[in-house]
Amino acid sequence: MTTSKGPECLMKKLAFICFLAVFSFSTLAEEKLVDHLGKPFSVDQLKGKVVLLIIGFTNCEDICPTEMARASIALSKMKEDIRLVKPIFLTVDPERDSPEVIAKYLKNFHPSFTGISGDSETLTELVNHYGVSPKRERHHGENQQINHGYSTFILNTLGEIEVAVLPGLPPSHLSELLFKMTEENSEIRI
Amino acid sequence: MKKLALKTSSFITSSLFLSLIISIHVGSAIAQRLAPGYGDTPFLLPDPGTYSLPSLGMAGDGMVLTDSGETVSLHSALGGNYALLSFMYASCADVNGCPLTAYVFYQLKRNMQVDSILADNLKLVSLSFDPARDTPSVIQKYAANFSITNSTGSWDFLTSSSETELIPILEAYNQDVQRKRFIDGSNTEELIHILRVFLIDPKKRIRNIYSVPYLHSEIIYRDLLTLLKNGEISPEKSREEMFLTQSTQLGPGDVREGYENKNFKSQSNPLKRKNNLTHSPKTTRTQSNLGLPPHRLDRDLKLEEKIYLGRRLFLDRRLSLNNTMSCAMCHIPEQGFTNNELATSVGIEGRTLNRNAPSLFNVGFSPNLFHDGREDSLSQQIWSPLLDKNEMGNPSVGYVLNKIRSIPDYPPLFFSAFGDSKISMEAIGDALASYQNSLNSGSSLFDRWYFGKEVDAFQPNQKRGFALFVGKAGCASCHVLGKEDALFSDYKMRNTGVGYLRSIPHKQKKQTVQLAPGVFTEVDYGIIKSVSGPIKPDLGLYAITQNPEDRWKFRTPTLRNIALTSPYMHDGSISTLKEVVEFYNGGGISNPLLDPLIQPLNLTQQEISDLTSFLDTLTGSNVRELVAEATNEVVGDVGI
Repeated sequence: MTTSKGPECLMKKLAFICFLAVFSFSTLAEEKLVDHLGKPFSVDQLKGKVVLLIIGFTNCEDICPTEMARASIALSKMKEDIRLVKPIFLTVDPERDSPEVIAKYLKNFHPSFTGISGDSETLTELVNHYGVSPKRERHHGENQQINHGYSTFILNTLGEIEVAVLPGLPPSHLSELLFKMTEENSEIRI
Repeated sequence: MKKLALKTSSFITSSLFLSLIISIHVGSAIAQRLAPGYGDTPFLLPDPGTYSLPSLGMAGDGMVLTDSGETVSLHSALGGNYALLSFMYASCADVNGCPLTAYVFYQLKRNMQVDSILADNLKLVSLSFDPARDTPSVIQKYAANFSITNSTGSWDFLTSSSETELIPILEAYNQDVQRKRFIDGSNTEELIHILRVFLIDPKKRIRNIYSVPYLHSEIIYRDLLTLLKNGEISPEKSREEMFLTQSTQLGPGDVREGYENKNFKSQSNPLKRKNNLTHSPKTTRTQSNLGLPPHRLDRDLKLEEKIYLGRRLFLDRRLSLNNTMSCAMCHIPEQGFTNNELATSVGIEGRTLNRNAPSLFNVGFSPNLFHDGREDSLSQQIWSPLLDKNEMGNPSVGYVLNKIRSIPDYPPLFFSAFGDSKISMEAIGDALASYQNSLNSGSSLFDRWYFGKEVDAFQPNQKRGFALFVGKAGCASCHVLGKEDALFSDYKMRNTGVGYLRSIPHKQKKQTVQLAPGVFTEVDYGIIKSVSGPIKPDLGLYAITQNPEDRWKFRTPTLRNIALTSPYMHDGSISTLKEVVEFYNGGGISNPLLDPLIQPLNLTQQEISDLTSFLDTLTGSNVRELVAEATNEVVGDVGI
């Protein structure tokens, strides 16, 4: 890593402790989350991989589709290194985003994406854990929007957020970040 | 070539990405035209250096948090070089808003990897609008975008501790931020703001403001090159060099020598454009000490910060009731820290004052202050002009404190000088005193000759003048010299008769008035009296002690830099040094309380001339530096 420093070591230890917390949380949530193929999903499936996490919802009219498009271009640049990355689309709108809806939505994007839906409370708790606090817009028009802020993250193999990718940065930046992250984490389980 | 290749490849990627953005947005209800910043430059750009970017005013300041949680001033976070400042918030979903800024900043950051001019001279800074969401640990994750890749050059992310800290900064940058509301009046997550990105120079002046149609990496790059080309070289590299080449004009711009002759031709200098150069005042202070007593404040670790704050306060017109008068408008730096053009000062709204503004050179060594010696500490003294209704006109101490508190520039400066941003009477006094204490000016020609033993430094007439000074003329009885240093004053209170002269009725019937070069007229004194305010007698020390013996006693001034501080005497009634010497040669003005040391001196014209040439050797070596330090400071919201 270009920025490999002493304090980072400590950070990783701390991150590991946090990860343990996530891990125990994930065992709780295991039964309640489901992927876009309808299979049960637990957070510990993310363990040991560099995760590209996009938090959004399929009816989003703003930033989610551009973020998904950016990520798809970035992922297609990864070629075979794609196996070292786990791209996740996590919905904040389980009421509308059933596994089937998400599966249909993901067809527009890179095939490596896993979509996650499930129990509303568990999902909210999970996205809050990543610092995202979605708020439903109050009017109930035909396409209700949910405000959630910047929501593209890269998680390290310990499940901690390493980078919050700013919207507007081009896909090449995202793929560069993913390359570097996978290079560093040579212990990634395939 | 490498740079070009990089640019092209990123362009291809980004166009692909952008076409996706467009297609998605076309599909949704909010199809939007993309800003030029995402593509080619919107118009043919002028070459760098073929245009100029005048200052658009001072960049605001305030307290911010870094991604490590440290509290710093925004100005210090902008660094010592050029900076590009943007504002951002996490819920900003408008493609031509924060993402556009991020995209343009990214292009610059990317180019910094191969372009050292860009990397060395520009710092990218993004300040969050949203202190509640963007805590230091969150913005650390934003910064992480560039610790892993594209790490050359800096793009710093800042936030603030609360909206209270943030709002004054937003106001200073005219960032009118409003929260979007739902129809029922409740708040949404979205903020409405107008996108503005600020290019700020090393002196913290705004040099360009980019809005959506102009926010493009190439425009910013050319602007930076233009500023660098227009002689505004990076201050780190050539601070000393630039300082050496600057010229500092001393004295009033309006030169009136020979004005009494008909053939007078104006030699007035146009006000020179200040070249805003900085230098290291500390060096000039420590190198101009020959002949001066040891500096009292050398041990203060925050001294430079206090001096800087004090200098800004000294130059700030907002310290007066109606924002028109600063300290520096009577103690004019380039006019010897006094006013060479007025016998007695003129205060707020043109109000007449009784006395000549005393020079501030070496004022830190003076045990008593004001012509009547009524104060003994610089930090207390400042309140006298600030609160005098005829000087700066402030109604109360609290008024001054609240005014300074309300100016966003100041809390960070107080913070760096005193460790907290509390603006108190003591802190203001301390800062202004620190600055005035820094106006020490020694190492004059005389010092080099007398204390430095440079035998060749003095001319024969100057040596004769010195002999008269300490001998026949007896000047040194009051304007004393020590063995190791000399302040040329015992700072005692004396009656030379100048004050007495003012107290006796005016005997002249007519007064000569000059109307134009070589054109004089005699005006009846009664007419002058009828249109001017009454001349008030000035009893000097008596006003303080109420002791009749103390009438017309005034403080003996230092003679250091005396050649720069005309006019002379407590009321500025004598214009030139030669006339002052002639005044003392005549034994002062006879009065019952005349100081016994004032006696007729019986000096010849040659001796008067020699004595005057000696007085000309007392000018310190760092005067131009001290003047430049003050005149180069830009205070308030007005650029140059």
